[in-house]
Amino acid sequence: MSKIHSHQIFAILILSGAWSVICIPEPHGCGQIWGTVAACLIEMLCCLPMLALRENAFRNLMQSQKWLGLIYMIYFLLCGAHGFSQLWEAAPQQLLPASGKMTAAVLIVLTCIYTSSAGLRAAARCAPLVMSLFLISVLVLILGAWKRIDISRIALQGNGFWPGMKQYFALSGELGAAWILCDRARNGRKSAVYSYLLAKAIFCILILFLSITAGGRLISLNGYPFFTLTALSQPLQGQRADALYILVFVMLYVMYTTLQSGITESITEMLYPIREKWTAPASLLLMVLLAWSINQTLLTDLIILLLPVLIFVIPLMLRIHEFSAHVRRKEQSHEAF
Amino acid sequence: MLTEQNALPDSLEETLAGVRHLADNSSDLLINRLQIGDISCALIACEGMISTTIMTDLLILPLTQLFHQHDSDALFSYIQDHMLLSLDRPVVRNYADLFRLVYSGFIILAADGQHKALAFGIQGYDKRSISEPSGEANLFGAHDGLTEAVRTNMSLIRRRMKTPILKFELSTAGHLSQTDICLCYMKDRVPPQLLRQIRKEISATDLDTILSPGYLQPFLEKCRGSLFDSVSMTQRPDILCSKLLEGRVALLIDGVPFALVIPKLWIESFQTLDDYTHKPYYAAFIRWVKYLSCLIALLLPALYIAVCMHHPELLNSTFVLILTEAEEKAPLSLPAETIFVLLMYEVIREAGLRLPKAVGGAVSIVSGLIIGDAAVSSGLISTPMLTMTAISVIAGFVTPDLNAPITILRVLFIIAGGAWGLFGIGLLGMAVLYNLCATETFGFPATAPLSPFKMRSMRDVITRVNFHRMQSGNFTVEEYYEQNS
Repeated sequence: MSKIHSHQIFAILILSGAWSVICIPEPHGCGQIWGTVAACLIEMLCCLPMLALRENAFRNLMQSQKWLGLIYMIYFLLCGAHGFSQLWEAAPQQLLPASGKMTAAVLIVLTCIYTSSAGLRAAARCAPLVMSLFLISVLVLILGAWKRIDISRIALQGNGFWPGMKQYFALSGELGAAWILCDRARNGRKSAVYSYLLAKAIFCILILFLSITAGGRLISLNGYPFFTLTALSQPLQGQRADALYILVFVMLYVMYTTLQSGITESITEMLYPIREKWTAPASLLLMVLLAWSINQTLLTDLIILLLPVLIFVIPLMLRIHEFSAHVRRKEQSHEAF
Repeated sequence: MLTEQNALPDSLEETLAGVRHLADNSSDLLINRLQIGDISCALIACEGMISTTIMTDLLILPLTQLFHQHDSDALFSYIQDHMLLSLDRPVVRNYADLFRLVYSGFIILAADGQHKALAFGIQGYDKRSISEPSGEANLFGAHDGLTEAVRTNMSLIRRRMKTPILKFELSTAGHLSQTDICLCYMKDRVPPQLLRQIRKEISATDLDTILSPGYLQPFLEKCRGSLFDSVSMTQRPDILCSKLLEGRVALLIDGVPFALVIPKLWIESFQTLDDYTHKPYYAAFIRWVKYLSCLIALLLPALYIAVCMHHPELLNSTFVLILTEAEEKAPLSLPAETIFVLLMYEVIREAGLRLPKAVGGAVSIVSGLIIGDAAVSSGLISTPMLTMTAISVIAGFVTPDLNAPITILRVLFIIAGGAWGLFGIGLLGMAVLYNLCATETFGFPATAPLSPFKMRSMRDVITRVNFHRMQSGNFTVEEYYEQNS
């Protein structure tokens, strides 16, 4: 099994998280920022048992309880489908030049089939490079929006604490991937996961803050705070730069989907230790089919429902099992002594 | 049935008959009988491969003076123990070794009553003298380059590294050619697993002959379907030494004036020896110019097309007016026009490369002045597009190592940009990035030290620090090794 560096885990998770953040369909007001902070803190607590587990805990679990592996696989397929449905909804915002949404979707799926076939390790190596480009684009976005910021607009927005919190949980699909990635980490998995949670929350708050203060009521009318913000924030006079964010949009989606299909492929390998060429394309096709057959609200609800079970309940039970086994061993060794 | 694997018989007649039979009386095989004392002997050599002067002075003359010898055992032991006829003098016990040595410029002494023969290295074949490499030009470094003779190349490296830590391992590869190949490495710095795997791969090759580095390169590149090289080539001994010092392994091949260096990192395509001679601030500036050139070479025509066709709002109004006016007159669509110009450039480049130098100059004049000027004047090609393509091609010259992938990818990006604008460029860009990230050889990722990120290595990537700081580095490529388990 190929090992992944902690900075690569951080980069791949934050890019996947950033995809969900840029696809937030509607802002719920200033309370959403506090909802995001609360959701982030809850997620940090939920990750504690997962990060306290021993190395290869996930792999061992998959090998002993194959049915659990299937549940995880379904979860990642749902996440992939959710990502695809987000793409389907958000594509018109970016005015993609491909003739029609269908052509754009086909092109993206073809690219993702190729990137997924390169494997999770290639995705991990790619992530820090993509992240550097992403950071530059965020910097340009901030510089462009800076002139339009008006703090008094915060007062105009409504509350939205609970919807904001729910939305943030729905954006955390990639958190399920954190455990599998940590299982393959060389070192520093705790720092990777907590840095990711923190950075994602900061990015989400930044986008919400900029969209509220720079966009004002326009954001509520138009929806999609990130895309509206890119249209509003123009760093150069006489030239529009929003088309450049198409590159960011494409890069983030490819990273997100490659992660989901790569993880699905990885779980398949753990359950059936044969590497098949068709696993990645098959998982991608399943994601597309799921996206078309289940509506986005249901997908969101399913992810919110499964996420705490997969990242908190199961790791917690496993940790308790590990601890009790450790205590038993200790007692046996005392008795033998 | 007699084969090359057969051991030499003790009868001289049978030995010579075997040699003649296996060589099928080849015209370049020379067999000269002579009598040393009471013993019937023969000298076997290949015409044109040995130095006749050395043979006469250092071999035939001393051998003919051994008239007191009566027994072949005593003769061979006397020659081996008391006469230093040549420095390189292996013992031959079968026909395979005999032919390999004869065709490598050795002379073989066979005697009646002996199961073995003595070989003496007196190579004297004509070879090209050491000259400046045609590629990899640099301003301040040495001007000598590798030649076709593997032993000359070994000496060129040894002259720069007078240490027993530098090790050469000679062997042969190619069933028919029996080409001499030489692995060189610094034994205290080379990652042992890298050396082990390279040896294994080379011994597993099943080639008949090795006529260029490209014959062995695919066996050393472990990543299939990659657009980028994970094994580099160099013609310069100074560059080769710098790579060896970083723990890499070099492979010299007889008959090839290039050395293969394993592993290659993508970032090395931007590093030249001159970078380490200039002042650090200037070297860092030049390095960033190279990074930018690579992006220009790859993306400029595609971005130009994408912006003109799909995203004109990215340009200011003056620029849009200039481009609209220029493109209105052109009969072809922008992508077709650009691909046509690039194709013409590749045709001209190939013609200039294959033709004799004197005619090659004429090709440049005809293509540059006549075709280029005529195409623009007649309105077949628009001036802004030609300018963009020319800038892109010139930028590609800055990183010659990446010429092959850039040439192909430039065309693909033009198609993607023309069809789907920045969206297409973004998708193809991601696919290329994944291809680059998936490239590795023997566990060394091509993207290191960018990903996996190594802060310490940034001193020779983002910038170039001075030697006061670099000398304390003790860097080897082993830092980048990614284990599979």
